[in-house]
Amino acid sequence: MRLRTFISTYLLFICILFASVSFVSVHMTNSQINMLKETSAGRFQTITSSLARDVAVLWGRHVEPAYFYDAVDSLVRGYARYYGRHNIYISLTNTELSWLAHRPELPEISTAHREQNRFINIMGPLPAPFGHFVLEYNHDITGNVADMQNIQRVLLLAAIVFSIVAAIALHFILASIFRPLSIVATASKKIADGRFGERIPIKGKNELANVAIHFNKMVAHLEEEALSKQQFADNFAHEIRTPLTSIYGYAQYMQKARLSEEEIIESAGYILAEAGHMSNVANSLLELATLRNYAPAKSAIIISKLFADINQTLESPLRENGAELICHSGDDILIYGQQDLIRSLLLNLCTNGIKACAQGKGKIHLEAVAHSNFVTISVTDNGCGIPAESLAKIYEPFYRVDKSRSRELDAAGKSGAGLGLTLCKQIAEAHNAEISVQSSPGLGTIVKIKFTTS
Amino acid sequence: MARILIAEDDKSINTLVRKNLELVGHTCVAAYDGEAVFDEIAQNTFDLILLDIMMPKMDGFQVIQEMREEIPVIFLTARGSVEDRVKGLKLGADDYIVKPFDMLELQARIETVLRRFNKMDKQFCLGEVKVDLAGRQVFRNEMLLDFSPKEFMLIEALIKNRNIALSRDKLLEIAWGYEFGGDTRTVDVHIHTIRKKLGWENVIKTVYKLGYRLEAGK
Repeated sequence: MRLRTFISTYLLFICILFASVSFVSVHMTNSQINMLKETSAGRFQTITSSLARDVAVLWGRHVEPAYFYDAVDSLVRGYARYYGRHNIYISLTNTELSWLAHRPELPEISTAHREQNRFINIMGPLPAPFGHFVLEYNHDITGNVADMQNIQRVLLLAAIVFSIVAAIALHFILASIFRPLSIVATASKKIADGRFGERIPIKGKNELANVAIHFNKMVAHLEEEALSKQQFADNFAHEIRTPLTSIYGYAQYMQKARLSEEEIIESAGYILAEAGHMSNVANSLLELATLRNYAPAKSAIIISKLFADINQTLESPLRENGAELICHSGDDILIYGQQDLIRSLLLNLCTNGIKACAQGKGKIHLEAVAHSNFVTISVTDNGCGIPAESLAKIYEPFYRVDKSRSRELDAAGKSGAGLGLTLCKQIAEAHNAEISVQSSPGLGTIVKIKFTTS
Repeated sequence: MARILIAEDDKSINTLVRKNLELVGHTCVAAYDGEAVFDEIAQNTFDLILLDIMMPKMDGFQVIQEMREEIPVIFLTARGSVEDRVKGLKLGADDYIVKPFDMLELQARIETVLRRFNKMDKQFCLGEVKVDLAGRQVFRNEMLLDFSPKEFMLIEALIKNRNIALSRDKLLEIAWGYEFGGDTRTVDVHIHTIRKKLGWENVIKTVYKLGYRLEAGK
């Protein structure tokens, strides 16, 4: 790209430079020669008129033709001597005495080459009554032409020097123009190799600085993405490895040790529970994957009915934990959403609430409030709460606030996959709802979901 | 045998490790979080601690850093990255085992660490048989028996992994090495001889489709 720009710009420059140099030198030569011709024509006029005057005087003095011609000859010699000093050679021919191949009626001007020299040649008659005298005027302009050629040579030399200077200047200009591009190229190569730490320094406020800003933003985004993928992979590996260790270990134990009936049942129980946990994780992950970019099939959901349904579903875990679920909802509150998704969202949040509460002391409030153009559903518990440093991470897949508790089996024989809140967030996002969590450790947690009523 | 503290928050894995170690005669105590480790070592003495890294309250790295007692530690963790291994070993752990682990590998590594700290049993007695593991001698009714080196290696492997079935291939590998091209029949012949010499027809059991197991009671 840079080489191409260099070559094309440089060729264009050279063409224009040399075209103008040759145009200027041709034009200069022509105008110089024309000027010389004009000067010569003027001088020829002067010479012929002064010669005619002198010849007239001689004619009056020497009526004898022989004397007259001699006198004219010596007169012309005098002229020739004088002008010869200025590189002008003149000769006069009497057409009455000698034959002339060409006899012009008016002065004729031309240029001529003789050997190495160049001449301006003018032939013309003297004014009447001496029209039979033809004057030949030769002005040697070799010197002038040589001068002009010198000037042309200097011009050409200057053009060559300038084009070299231009090449160097162009090289540096292009280098400075293309420098940001090469920085971007180097940086993107490093990023392509997976080194996301790379950033482009931002200088000034031009288009390139803009490119750099966007480029850096893009890289930061990529880095974040890669990091969260890595995090997910790490968490996932850990999440899978733990039940796998149990399954593998107990199977090996059953194979290699001599077991009593109880031990067989116990070991197989662990294998089944851990396999169940893995299938739980797989299902939740599948659900998460389906929910990504999912458009829910929305219909009107009557909140009071939904709450009643949830209360019924949670009956047994509530009884086991000695917790109480208190629902508040107006009769006519409606939200639009996919019934099963919203149900699983609220079930998830309520189950979390129940788990967070101490045995026999739990009170979970499930409440819906209608506002002018949105509905808020909140789940409030009086459980152990979430420490502030964990709040930011609760939506991360496989993140657990209390690592020891949540893998224990719950009432339904299912252990938490660590994906509950991630799923909740996905469901909320699929419905354009906002989910927010407030918590004070030791006092309880409030989860609010804001549904737009459309 | 040794007293071992198992610090692992996952109940099923904790139980699994305990069951495995009890098979070969170790005594085990379970701790389910980092702080419980300190409670236990304050009350009892242990020959070895198996330590998980990701535990509630206090992770394994913190535990090993704050522990003042000179107890050998083996990390038993799902975190298998090179950084974690190096960190664990640099903090003074004697070994690092990554989950999921193999039962026999776990036993072998524990045995290696215990032997380094001189906490392995020097001899094994069962009925009228006494095996001097250090002196590599076998007695029956206080009478020294003539045991070939291969036979001793087999009986040693069976004793160290007692109550665990060892495959013929594994036994072949232990006594003859990887390169041995022989048949697993060789193992059967040797086991037969050992049984006869010790009167252990009912002690070294043939396990269907697998190999042999020395049953010694837990």
